[in-house]
Amino acid sequence: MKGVIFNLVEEVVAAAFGPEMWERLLDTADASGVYTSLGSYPDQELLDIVGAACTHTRMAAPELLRTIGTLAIPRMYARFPHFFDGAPDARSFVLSLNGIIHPEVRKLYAGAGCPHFHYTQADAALTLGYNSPRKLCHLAEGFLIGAAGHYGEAVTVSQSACMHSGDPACHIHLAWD
Amino acid sequence: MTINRPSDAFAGAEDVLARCARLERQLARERAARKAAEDIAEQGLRDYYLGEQRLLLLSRIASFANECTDPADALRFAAEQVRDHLGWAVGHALVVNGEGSNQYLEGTDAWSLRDPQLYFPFIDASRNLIAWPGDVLPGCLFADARSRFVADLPAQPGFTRAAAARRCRLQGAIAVPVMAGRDLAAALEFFQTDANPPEPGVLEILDQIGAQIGRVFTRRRHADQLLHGTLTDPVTGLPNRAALERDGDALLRAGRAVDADGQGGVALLCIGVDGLQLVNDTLGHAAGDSLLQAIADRLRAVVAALADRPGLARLARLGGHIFVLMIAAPQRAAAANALAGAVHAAMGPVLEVAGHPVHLATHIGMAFDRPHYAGLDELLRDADVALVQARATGPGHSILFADAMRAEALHRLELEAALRTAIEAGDFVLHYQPIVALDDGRVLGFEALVRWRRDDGRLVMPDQFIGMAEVTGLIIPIGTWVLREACRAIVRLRAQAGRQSAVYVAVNVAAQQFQRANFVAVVRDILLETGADPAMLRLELTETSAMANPQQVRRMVAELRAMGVKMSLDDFGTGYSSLAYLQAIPFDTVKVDSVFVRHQIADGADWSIVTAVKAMADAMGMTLVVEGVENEFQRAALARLGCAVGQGYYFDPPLPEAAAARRAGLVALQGA
Repeated sequence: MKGVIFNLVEEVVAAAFGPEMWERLLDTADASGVYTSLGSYPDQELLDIVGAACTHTRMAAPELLRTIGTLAIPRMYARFPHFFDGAPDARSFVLSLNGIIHPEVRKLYAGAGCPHFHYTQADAALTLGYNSPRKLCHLAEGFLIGAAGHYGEAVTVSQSACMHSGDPACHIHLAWD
Repeated sequence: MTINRPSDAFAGAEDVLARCARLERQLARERAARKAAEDIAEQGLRDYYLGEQRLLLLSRIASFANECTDPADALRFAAEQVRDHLGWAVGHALVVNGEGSNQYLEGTDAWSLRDPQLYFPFIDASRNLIAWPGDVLPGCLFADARSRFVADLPAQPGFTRAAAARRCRLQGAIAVPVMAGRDLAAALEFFQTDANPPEPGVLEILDQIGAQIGRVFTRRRHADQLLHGTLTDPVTGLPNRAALERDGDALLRAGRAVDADGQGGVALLCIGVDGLQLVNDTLGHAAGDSLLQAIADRLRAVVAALADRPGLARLARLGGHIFVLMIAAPQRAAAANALAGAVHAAMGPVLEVAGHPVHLATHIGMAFDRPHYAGLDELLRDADVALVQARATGPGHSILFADAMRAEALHRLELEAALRTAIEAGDFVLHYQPIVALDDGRVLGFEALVRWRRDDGRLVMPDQFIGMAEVTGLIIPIGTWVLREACRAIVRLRAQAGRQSAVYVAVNVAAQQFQRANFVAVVRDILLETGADPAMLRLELTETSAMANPQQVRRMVAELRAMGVKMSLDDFGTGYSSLAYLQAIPFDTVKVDSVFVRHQIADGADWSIVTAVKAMADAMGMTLVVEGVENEFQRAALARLGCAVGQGYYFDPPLPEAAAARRAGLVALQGA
């Protein structure tokens, strides 16, 4: 996992729960806490931090990840505004993940393991197929909710299939109201 | 001296909260500094990554271009690689067609698509696409051969595929020139679904990619030029024998398709043009080349005049002075005859080469394609046989191949071989026809006439082999043999004459012999070698060979006369002489052709030509010799007209040397 994700999670946690919370999570997870955006760190370290956060906040992991994802979007926009400026609306933004945003991410962070989404489009809906071994579908849901919020669009995000439920892939469903 | 550190100095006074606040500010600064450093590193890494990716792209395309021979493959590869690198939706290749100011870009079927099913309407709209110079992308590349980006191409006025592009949500576009040297050879165009400009530096890399692909076009052009060179006659620019052989069988098949009723199909004209060797020998090969070009231009004009008639026509230079004209027509006999007539007519007018007038003699052998011919070479072989026949018949003739000619050709081949052997063995003999005074029949000289002595002892007359000798060039060694033998005879006759006045020997010189630049030297060498008195040698030139190249003839005649050799103009009145030329060339003797004498009979004699020539010869100080005197009436009439000298069967036929010497009243010396 790239350090930039740790940095974003830290920012979100510090903003939502105060700077002390991050220190507590690091202690609980026994994580080093030394993350630079360009470095790569074990996935397990992030999962441990999330586990510690669930304990401290008494939130379930899906909800916590969704919240982190949602809150991370404004920070991503602050850091990478051109990813958003190239797309006029949430649908375009989501559809540009494979073709534009993830290639750009790979330019910035050599060796970044970005997921590949399989899109299924309908008039007022969009389904993303996701099957990363990291199984961070709930974080992805949060990102999608945050992106809809960025464009001021009302979108309902749900999953009709999920790897956590034993499905081979997650189907993240977006429905515009 | 001890200096207290500030922290030590203030430690006591500072409260814990203030210290915490300071530390937090310090932490925030450190964090900001870390982020700034990360940003700088990210930017650097990104630039490095992009540069590396571009270099890889350029190197992949350059490697491919190095190995590639087909420009279409190179375009397809580049379209795919560049589109993938840009991450764009559509890549497409176009090639330049047309000539000069009518060049345009035409769409190809080389496409690279991120998502094939999404872009069918656009592909459809690009089918048969023609982009003219001055158009929007990609036509603008003609005027400015640099890669160009347009943010919203469908919104550009004049973009003909705008509706399809909008349907496919295509917006931004890049056009890349593919340059072969300084010429636009092709173009690549790329489209994306947004209006974002490419990264800085991308267009420059695309220019380089265009140059790499252009090298494949350049190599192909060079290869084509080489091929063209091997298939084109460098002098005339016409297709050569190799080109005809390469295309020949396909042309035959195409021609056979023309044959609907057995009357049509391919006709091949083998055109031989004489006069080239003379120009090469006398005016040099540069003049010979310009003559060939002039001939080719005349033949091209004949073909051009054919152009709006049905059928296909192919003109080629087979080599030397032989050209081939191949047509396919529904009524090929009529078409071929008309064409042959047109060729003769086109070759008729006198050409001027290097300031000299040149007469061309054209012969045409024709052959028609037949079902049993295996290929063009057989058709060509038969047309060539007909050409030899036409040439033997005389200038301006066209002859259609017939099977009997092949037997004749074989016979001629045998004859030629035998003639070559005869030249090596010297199997010739000279006979001498007396040239006499018309009043008393006294022998003044002889005309030497060659005979070929075959193995069986039979003597073959010149009309049986001189034509063949002229066609094959064997006339040169035969002519030299005759000259040497005549000079030896002069020496023998001189010895026999003793105190009597000697008699001269006249030798016919063939046009080809006289046209050789070294002829004067050959005569001089033979005179020196044999010891013959030059004054006893008389060289007879026909009107035709004298008129072929008047300036040179005048120079050579003057040189020969300076050596003491007498010069005679033979067969006068049968060729096309110009009196102006004649006046310029200092002949000693003019021989009136026998046709003006032989048919004069008592009841209807017309001596006007002989009278006129006699007056001319007198005026120019030339001696007149009348040929073909066959009876007493003619002799007496000519004598009355004042003609002093003649020859003919009335006096003597050609005689063997001994008989001739006796006829002249010469007595052999003892022991000679």
